[in-house]
Amino acid sequence: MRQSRRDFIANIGKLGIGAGLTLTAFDILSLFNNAYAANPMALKEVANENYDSLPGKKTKCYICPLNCILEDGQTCFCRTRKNHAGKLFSHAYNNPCVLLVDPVEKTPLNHFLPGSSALSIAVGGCNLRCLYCQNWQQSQAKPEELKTFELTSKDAVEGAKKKDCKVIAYTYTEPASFYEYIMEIAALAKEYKIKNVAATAAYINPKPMKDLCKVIDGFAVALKGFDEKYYEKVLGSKLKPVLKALEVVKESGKWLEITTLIVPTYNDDLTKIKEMCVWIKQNLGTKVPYHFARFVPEYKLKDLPRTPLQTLEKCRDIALETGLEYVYLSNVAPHEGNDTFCPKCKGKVVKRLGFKILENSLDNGACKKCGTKLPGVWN
Amino acid sequence: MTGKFLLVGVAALFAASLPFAAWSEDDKSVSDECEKGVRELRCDINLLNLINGINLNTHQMKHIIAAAKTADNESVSPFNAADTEQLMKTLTPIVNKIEQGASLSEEEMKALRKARSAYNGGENGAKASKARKENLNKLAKGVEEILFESQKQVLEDYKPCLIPPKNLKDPVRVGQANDSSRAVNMLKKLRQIPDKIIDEKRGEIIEAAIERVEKHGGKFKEEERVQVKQKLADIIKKTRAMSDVDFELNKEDLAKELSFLHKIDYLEEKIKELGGTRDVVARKITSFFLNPRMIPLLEERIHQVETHVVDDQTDLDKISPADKCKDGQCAIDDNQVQKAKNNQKPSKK
Repeated sequence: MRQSRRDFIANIGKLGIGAGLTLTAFDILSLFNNAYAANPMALKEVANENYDSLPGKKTKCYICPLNCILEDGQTCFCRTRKNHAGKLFSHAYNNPCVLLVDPVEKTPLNHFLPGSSALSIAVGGCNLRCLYCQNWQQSQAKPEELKTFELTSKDAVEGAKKKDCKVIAYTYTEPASFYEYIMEIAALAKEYKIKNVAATAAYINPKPMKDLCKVIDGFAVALKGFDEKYYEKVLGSKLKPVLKALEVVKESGKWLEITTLIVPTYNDDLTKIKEMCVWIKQNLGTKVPYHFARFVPEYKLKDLPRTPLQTLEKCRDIALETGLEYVYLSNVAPHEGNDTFCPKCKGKVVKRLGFKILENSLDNGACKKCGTKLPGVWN
Repeated sequence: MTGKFLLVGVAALFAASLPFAAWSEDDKSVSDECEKGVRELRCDINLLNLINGINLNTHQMKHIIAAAKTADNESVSPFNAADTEQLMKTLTPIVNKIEQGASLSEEEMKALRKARSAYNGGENGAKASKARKENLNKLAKGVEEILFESQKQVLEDYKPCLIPPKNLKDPVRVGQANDSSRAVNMLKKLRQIPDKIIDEKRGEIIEAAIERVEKHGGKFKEEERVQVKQKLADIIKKTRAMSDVDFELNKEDLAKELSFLHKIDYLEEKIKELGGTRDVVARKITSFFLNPRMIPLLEERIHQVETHVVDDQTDLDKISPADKCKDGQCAIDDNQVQKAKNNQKPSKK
């Protein structure tokens, strides 16, 4: 809950800061006011279980594995959480920088209410530093550095209803960095039977991920590679916590699809691709839809070529040979890799051109020809 | 009168088709070669843009190559060398007479009609032409059967162009936020114009938009113009009156409302909705895929596919790595960031 100015001062008084402070009460107020004045609605205290106040007005955040320790006035690596006099606040709240109505397939999710519209929301910030980020203008900036819209959780749900969106998608930037905002919108959306999906790199601690699973119905997780060095050098992150987060989603029973962006000469080693497919099969099962996405030169990797189609096709072949049943190609259209096939009779049950559905011959998720029920969220 | 046009038309046909190499000067021959070369290059570029955008698999490419070779083998020259010589003997004096502006006799008219028939292959030629058309249709049908529904959709919309269309060259990507169409960007700019300027210049903006549309799509009728002006004025008013959130939610729909300005595209969409373009696919298959110039392009593409190997991996120790927390220090200190920014600013002299 957002604190009033009165409560804020009262809490400082309780901590016995009083006359010992180098900052006067007026200065504290103006610190609060500076952020507050920029957008009065754009601050939310991080939930107690997700951070600790430490001696010396420091804070320690537990949302993602970085577990940032902040001095007063410092910002987390994700650029969205800031220490205000020993309390941790999210600045990614009620202030999205992207608001769009998209096909849910763009998340990408091919087995989740196919053909539905999703209200897509993104707030500035991210706890990764991917060299190829295609939304870097938003992800590598603080929320207050961007042009934003005032959108409360109520506004978001109203907007989804107005535009006949069955889904609200938290996407384009990293949901872990606007986690508090998502928790609020998603909880309200559930009351109106609107589903929630998140497109995430899943670099998030298990506890907040479990809590997210309570309100999010579908996850599009970017498993960006299968190499710690790749995660460190290209993404500024770590692989192991991502694998753990995937297991958490799997355990929760919520819908999961995985995407790997194939970057030429960086993560297109076919041996590694095979290892990744085997891990997915052993830990998440063969029924998890898996997307290989084509890389397009962007941000700090503008000198690389696009992923050759033949490389993507080889990746898809490897995944299918490993035993994964639903393997797609993204950012390539037209292609059979956009289509869904029945695993039993091998018939084409959903024909797509990119995100657009051309023909859907599933009957509440079942193949009309042989009756096999395909995994997914169909209504 | 009709006869005179017939004469001119047939004479022009022969002037273009008969081998006048013996008559040409060297310059004309070189110029013809260049023009032919440019035409062929343009054709190749159009075909390559299609190949790059339609993602044929190897099986499809091999089938198309076979079909194109069959189509090419069946193409028949309308007349042989002996016919050519005879026709030249008949037509040369007639062309000279037409140049003088003189009328032709009945016999000369007869000779021209005979020449036209000979050009079309005579009686047998008409039959051969019909058979060839049927064979081409059969080949095109065979190609259509092996294309996927999504590929047929792309082919239906494909317009040959030297510059590949955006939707084929750079389609919208999963998870990509920045993809506003031109119309949406234009609407965004409309919202940013100060009220005072819009009030003063609204008429000019609308007039300029209409003139631009008319330049490419033909003039509006007077009553149409009035309606278009009013529609544009309404869209401008609606766009500017929306809140930021409402605009973001509705911008694609607003952009669609402007589609009536793209007359040709708009009409094509309407025709498509009425379901009237399915044989467009068959016609485009004949024009593009059964074009003999497609054969070497697809053969090269198959070679590329069959010899493709994944390149060696980049040594990640040698790249400029992504930022990360250093020694557990993840915090961003705003004061330090500002200091660094200030230090980067050029000093004033």
